[in-house]
Amino acid sequence: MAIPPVVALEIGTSKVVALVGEMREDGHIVITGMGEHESTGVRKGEIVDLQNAALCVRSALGAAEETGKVTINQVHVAVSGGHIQALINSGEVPVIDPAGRISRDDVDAVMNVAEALNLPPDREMIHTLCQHFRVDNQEGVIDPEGLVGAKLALNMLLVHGVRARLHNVINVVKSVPLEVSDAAFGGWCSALAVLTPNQKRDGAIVVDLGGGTTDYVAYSDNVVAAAGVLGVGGDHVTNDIGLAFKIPTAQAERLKRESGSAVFDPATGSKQVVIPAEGGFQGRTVHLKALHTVVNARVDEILVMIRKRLDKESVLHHIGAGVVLTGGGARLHGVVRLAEKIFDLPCSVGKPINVSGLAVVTEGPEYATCSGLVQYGFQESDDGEAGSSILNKFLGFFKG
Amino acid sequence: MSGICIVGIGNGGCKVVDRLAGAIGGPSLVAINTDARALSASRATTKIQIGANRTDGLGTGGDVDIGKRSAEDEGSVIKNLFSDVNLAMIVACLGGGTGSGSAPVVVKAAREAGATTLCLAMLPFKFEGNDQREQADHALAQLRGLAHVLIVVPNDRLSELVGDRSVAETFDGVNEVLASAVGGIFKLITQPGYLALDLANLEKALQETGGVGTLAYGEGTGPERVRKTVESLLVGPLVEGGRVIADARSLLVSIMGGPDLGLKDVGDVMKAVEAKARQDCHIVMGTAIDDALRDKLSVIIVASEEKPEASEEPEPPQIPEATHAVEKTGRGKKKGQTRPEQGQLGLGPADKGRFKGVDPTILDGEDLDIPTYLRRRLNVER
Repeated sequence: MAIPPVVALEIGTSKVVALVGEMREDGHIVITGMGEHESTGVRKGEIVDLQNAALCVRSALGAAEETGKVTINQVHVAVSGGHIQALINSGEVPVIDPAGRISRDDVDAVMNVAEALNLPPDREMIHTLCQHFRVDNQEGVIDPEGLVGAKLALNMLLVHGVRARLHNVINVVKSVPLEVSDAAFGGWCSALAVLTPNQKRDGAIVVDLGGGTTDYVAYSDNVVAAAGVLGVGGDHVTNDIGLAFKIPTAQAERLKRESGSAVFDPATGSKQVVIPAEGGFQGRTVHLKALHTVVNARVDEILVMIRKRLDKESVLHHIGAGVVLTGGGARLHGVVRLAEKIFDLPCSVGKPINVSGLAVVTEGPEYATCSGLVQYGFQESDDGEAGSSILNKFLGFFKG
Repeated sequence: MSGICIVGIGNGGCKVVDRLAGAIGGPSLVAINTDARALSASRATTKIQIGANRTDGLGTGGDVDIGKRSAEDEGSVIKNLFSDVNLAMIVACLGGGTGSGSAPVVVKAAREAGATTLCLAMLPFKFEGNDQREQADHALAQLRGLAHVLIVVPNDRLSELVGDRSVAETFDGVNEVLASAVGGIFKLITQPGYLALDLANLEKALQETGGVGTLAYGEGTGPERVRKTVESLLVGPLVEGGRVIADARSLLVSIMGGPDLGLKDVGDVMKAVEAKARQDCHIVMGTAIDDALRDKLSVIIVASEEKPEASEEPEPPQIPEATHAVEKTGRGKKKGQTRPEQGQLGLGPADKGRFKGVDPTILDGEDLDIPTYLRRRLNVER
């Protein structure tokens, strides 16, 4: 087999997922193996307990090895967390050729300038994603090689995070022990998994509603226009429910999944749900309306914050194809309707459409990140999409 | 007495009015809100839902523009409220969408209807975030030009008064203090004691600083009530440990007690106030007698700060980690040992549930680990 399989690992806040992907000869990616384990040791997308996290990883990988019939030695990992930020940096270089013909060297030079950003010492670059080139005054150039001009400029979206927290993820994998081939931002992976080429061209926002974080990526004109993370996710919804009605987390989580809604349903009326007694918890009833008030407030807040951020970065009016929701939170009742109202754009739940194989994966918005990471892994080996991970540099150091 | 109405705007304002419902009789109590459910639970005598077709009765979600338009939609209804009203006391929590957006509209309507407008504007807690703060400041600037008398109450100062409690309890405590103050001003005007104080005095006392005052409230019971009242009043957080009194250009002092209120009590309070104030401070005083206040003394001071703008010191840039560290040490030790950073609300761990002990998610100064419904002050039927 020409291309070895890619193993993608996501150490999420609510679950650890490992997927094995193989590339067929026609370039199509098939998910052949899968392992999943409830996650402990992660809060808000960040590792808080290395040992517990490693246990969950081992268990998920074990299952993936079994179903995928492979031996896993190295993995790609997804990273997230509220510390991850993105910014646009631009670079400009004079064209070397006296006649002004732009060469590959010019392109490399401007990329080097655009990605040369002095981050604070505690931060590490995760991705440097090319946006558009500008040749003199001509904006929006996708491939400048061969064009003629005096100056070549480039905007790059730089995604970075706090080094120590990124390394926590890598250290967990290393303690398993396994090698990390590469790391990628989870939000971007989700976008890779669910967006069609048309959506990327016309402009789309992918909001990944995870357990601990909400990641977002906006594509427009085929490039990543904006990206970011809110350290708020489904756990917060559960926590709000628990606090509002004084019920334990496990019951609150179940209540959210079974009866929660991000919007008010007039049919709810004054209906109540019964939460049975369990363990030390005495049981109680909760008004659905009150439950939906609590859930609506939190989800509304998350989505409005993302809208505000994208609005600030002047991205919103470039979005023609709408909003795609992924992550476990996309399964929340009413969340599509709420997102439509908030963004004033068509909105849908995104499934990993760019891979095939295990139906549970291709049907589940919660597997978008990990499937996207498999795609990313193959792109990496193929050097397909511009914007390779800089993490490679320090990963190399760790492998050493 | 007819001719006075007390209006609460938005969730915060309406809650203050609710508390007044049982406490004082006489004025008409009006609740104006976009949140239909909060409104239906309100104890106000008149309830006006605004923006029904803009918000589906769900509140503005913090959008000031929706708050403003919602009130404007109901302009004629709101104006009619004030047709026979001499004094409109308007209570609003600034920062949220309804309070910030519609308070200026309501105050303007009252003024145009010929009422004297006294507006109590509560500023959001610092933990509610910079967005809220900005919206509040913006609304405050508008109210400054509209209300005859504007009394500003920064909630952060109140929160220290109600002590180290959970967020929900703090909001409750703050509402209680505010309700006492509003009720007190109402009584002061309607139930004069030895020295009557009318609205003209209040206006005059505040005129010099553009009609903006800071509210201080203190109370005490029992034989030691004068000392207790003065203590809580003059050195409390509401007056920033006395700084507000010391800097005030004019002070309006209203003293309320039961039939047992003695002239000596009044004199003692005034002596203590005068000792704190600047020599050239213009002090206006009034008393009210209320049978319900037997054995109890309560004092309201409205202080016109010399520079109302400068009193809000610019905040240092928010550095989440650092702030958290300070808060943590402050909380861990015994009360009083380390004062929490100014404006930081001492949050009980119960408010964060499973997120206690992890780095807080702070965005624009707002702690997102605290449930949204609490920060938005939504009514949740438990």
